[in-house]
Amino acid sequence: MEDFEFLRHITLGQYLPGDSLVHRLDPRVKISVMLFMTVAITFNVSYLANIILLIVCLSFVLLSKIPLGYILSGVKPALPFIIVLAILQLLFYGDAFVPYGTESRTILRWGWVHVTSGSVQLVVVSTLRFLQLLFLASLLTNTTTISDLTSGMEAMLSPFSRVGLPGHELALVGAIALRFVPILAEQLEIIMKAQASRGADLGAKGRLRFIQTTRQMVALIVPLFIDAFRRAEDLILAMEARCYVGGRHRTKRVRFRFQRADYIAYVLVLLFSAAMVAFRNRMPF
Amino acid sequence: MEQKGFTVRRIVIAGVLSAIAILLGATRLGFIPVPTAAGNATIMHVPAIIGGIMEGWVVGGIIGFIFGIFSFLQATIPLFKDPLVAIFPRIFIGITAYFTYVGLKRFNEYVALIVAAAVGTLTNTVLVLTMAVVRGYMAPGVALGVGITHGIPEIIVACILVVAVVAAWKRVETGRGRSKV
Amino acid sequence: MDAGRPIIQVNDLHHRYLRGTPLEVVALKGVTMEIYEGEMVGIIGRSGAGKSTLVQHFNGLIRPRERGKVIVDGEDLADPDIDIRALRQKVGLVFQYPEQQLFERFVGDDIAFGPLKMGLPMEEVRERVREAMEMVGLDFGRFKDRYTFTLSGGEMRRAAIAGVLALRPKILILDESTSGVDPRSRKDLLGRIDALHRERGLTVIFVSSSMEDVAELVDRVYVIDDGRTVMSGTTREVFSRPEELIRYGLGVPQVTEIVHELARRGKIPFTTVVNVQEGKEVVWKILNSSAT
Repeated sequence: MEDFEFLRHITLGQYLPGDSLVHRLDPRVKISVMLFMTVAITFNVSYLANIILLIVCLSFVLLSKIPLGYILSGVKPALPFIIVLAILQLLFYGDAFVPYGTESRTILRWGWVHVTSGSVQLVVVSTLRFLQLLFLASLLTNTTTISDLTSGMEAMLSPFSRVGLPGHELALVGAIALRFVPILAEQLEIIMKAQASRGADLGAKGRLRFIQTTRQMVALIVPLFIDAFRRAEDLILAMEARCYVGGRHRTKRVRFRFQRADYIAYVLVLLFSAAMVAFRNRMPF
Repeated sequence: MEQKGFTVRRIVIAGVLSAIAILLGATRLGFIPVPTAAGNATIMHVPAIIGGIMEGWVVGGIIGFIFGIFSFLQATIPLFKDPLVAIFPRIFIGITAYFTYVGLKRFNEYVALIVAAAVGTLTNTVLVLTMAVVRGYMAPGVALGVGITHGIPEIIVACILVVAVVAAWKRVETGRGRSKV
Repeated sequence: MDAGRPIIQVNDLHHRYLRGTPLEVVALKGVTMEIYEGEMVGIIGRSGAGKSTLVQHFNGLIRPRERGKVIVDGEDLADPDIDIRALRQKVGLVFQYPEQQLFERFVGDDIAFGPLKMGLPMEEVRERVREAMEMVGLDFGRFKDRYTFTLSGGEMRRAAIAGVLALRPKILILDESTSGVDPRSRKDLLGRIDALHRERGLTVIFVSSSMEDVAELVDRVYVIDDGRTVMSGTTREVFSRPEELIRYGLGVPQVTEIVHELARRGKIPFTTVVNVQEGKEVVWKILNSSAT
């Protein structure tokens, strides 16, 4: 409770420098891979499909040379929660979930407990799915710098600006957001320390904890918002003073260009994901 | 403010409020321990509501979207590693809040803020839990239970925060124009 | 002055931020100092030297967790069981950029935050707020209902200091809290702090990068560089070693430098003056002797 340092710990999917194949891929390719794979993962509920998908995701991790333990260590704090949730799903959700194309058989029924083949599958598949997406998301953020990520997103969204989707502006919003997180974290630390120095008891105890924490939080978060607005006003003024106009006519300092590896990765993952979606109901188990 | 499209103001406000949403999630400050089995209620959706109220539904929607992407990328539980649960419902938080606010503003600014905060919060809770049920992570009964134990404290806290922040910024009268001392 | 026991005792203090992560930063690598009750002590050092990290140990915002000890008014801050709120009431800390520390809507409420948290009755709170505001030169009636963010820079600093003074601390720490204000306002504020120190016996720790202010105000100085105590002594002693100070990225007050330069040119024997008054006397003496 007496530790204000946690604010410095904020890592937005810490970028880990490296020179692996995955690091060198074009950010647009990485974002696309993430999207294709996510679609494939979202559509597949069978055991086999999810095992295949997990193996593919794992091989991406190996290619990136990011230590597997590093990615998994982020899950550790939530592990008890995940396990409890999984057990609940396993024991009580028997009737809730019937995977497409299968018959849910009752495996065990005892009072409230109702385990079916459906609930077993739900638990196993959602665990596998979780791991797949965890690997993909960590890979994207661990091997791509934030500026590459936003530029990549912007580049991908720009074709849509012709149909009215403001790709450039969206990317700019993202870039401002990421830029402001550490600034506001520092401000939050200042407010917390100033309040603590004047006797605010951060970290409440007892039965009325909810009310206490809410009050403290309001006292902390309202000034944070006000500070954020003040900084926003400054930035608006600065941008308008320099006649900022976004959009299609803006030139860029860095332009991405696809390399051979980019084309190969893109096409391979696209084909693989499409196949996984196409054959989703034909998996043997 | 009635200007169409993306003004510099809207871009910047959307960015800064998204940063707050991310910060609240990353520091766990956005979670309030509630006295129920459910554990934590969240206020990470509040920036989207405030953005919607102050700068319109587009800004509100974008903040929700960015908040969603972040909660998807950072999720450590299976439920929120599903983009249909983590990202999609969040887009609507600021949008419903905005339309509620605009609809009620004529009657009373104060009431409009409170109801908008409640509607925005409900949008989040209901849509996320609906998606959780649809995607098979939760049984409907459980979802309802979580909805009530989480939803009610979340609505209360969101209302307090939205009124406090918007009033402080717009300097709307909230009944007290003087200091306590 | 050295008669009493030290009210703050720091011994070989070390601190690392984000210990055990790849982003670890070493901030303190061996600070030792003693501050006595009723003293006015300056801490100087270039930015990033570790001054703020050090003073945040004094009111327990950062706890000593590695090598080194911090003892404040007889309590060892490494002990997890000490009453931290009582300590923070005793040791008032005003940060850098006071304008970022005002968090309430009204000036009066912001200054009342501490006394209210102490659970005092409203009458007493009001009295303390009034007193604290007068001490920093803010009129109670005129300022208490002002919005905090409509204050000028100088007024914000005063309000932030008043918020800490309302706790009635025994020790007041000013962490660069007076830099960046217009000269007149700063002079007035420094005068008021000096008065608090003289009249009420408040122990003041003055962290600053303005050599002039330090020389003007404090009795003794500690110089921190790269997380270590590198010099200490009376203000005059420390400022009589300009070469060392320059090595630590600091300097001496302009008037001190002028008198040193006069000595180097053989006009006078080497003396260290710490304020304009003393400098003036030296210059007069030279002028008078060359006139005759």
